[in-house]
Amino acid sequence: MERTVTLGSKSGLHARPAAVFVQNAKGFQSQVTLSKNDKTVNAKSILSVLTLGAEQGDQVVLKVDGDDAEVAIDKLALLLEGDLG
Amino acid sequence: MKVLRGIAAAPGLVIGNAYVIRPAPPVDVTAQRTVDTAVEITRLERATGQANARLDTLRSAASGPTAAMLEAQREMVDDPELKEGSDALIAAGFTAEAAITRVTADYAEQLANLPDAYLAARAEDVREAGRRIVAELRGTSLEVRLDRAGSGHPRCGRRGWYACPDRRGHDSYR
Repeated sequence: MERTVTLGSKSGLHARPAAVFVQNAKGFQSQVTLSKNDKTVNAKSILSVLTLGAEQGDQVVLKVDGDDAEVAIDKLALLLEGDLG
Repeated sequence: MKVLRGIAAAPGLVIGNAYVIRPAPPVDVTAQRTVDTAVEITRLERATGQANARLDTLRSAASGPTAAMLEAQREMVDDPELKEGSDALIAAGFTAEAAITRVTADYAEQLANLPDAYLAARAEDVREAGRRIVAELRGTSLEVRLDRAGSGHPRCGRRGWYACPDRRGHDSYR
């Protein structure tokens, strides 16, 4: 499953928001990736997610593959669109 | 001229230069190699687990931005890609110290090259996560007990371990 999301977090995917997002991604069995422009990374890796350099308003593509994909994509997309703390 | 008397290990007369043996200064670990891959993978797993446990303890006593920083640091130490990359380097013959230092340095460089100044500054956090694991591999930690900071080692009085005749336990005295 795939969904394009616009990042809502004021500070983009900085350390704290990225940690929150990655922790949530790890909570799912599914394989989760996040892409920006042509770069795709493992969404369960904070180091990789940070290297995307994603900022507020950026379009990112969330891709989820696995048994809990449907629940995962809804929750993770909602997180990315929201403030993430 | 200084005369030093030693113990003869063999009969005869020898003339040459005398050397004082001291522990080696800190070395660049990134070139360290090993043939014992399985041992290094286990060491790395254990060190990562210990670093995580220590960060959990620190975080439970922290609040606000400090807690957030420690949480991000814990995610970095516990990163699955960090483990995968390090295990691959260990399999290629590097020690756990070399592998973790190389992989964290690589991520740090990628972050440092980002246009976003805040993210670029996170490069140092990534290096710190690497140093944290290396410290655990050496049987110490990155944190210094407040009552020991700057006081020097109780036996030699030095703050750096590398010139100490007794390196044991030195890293907690900086």
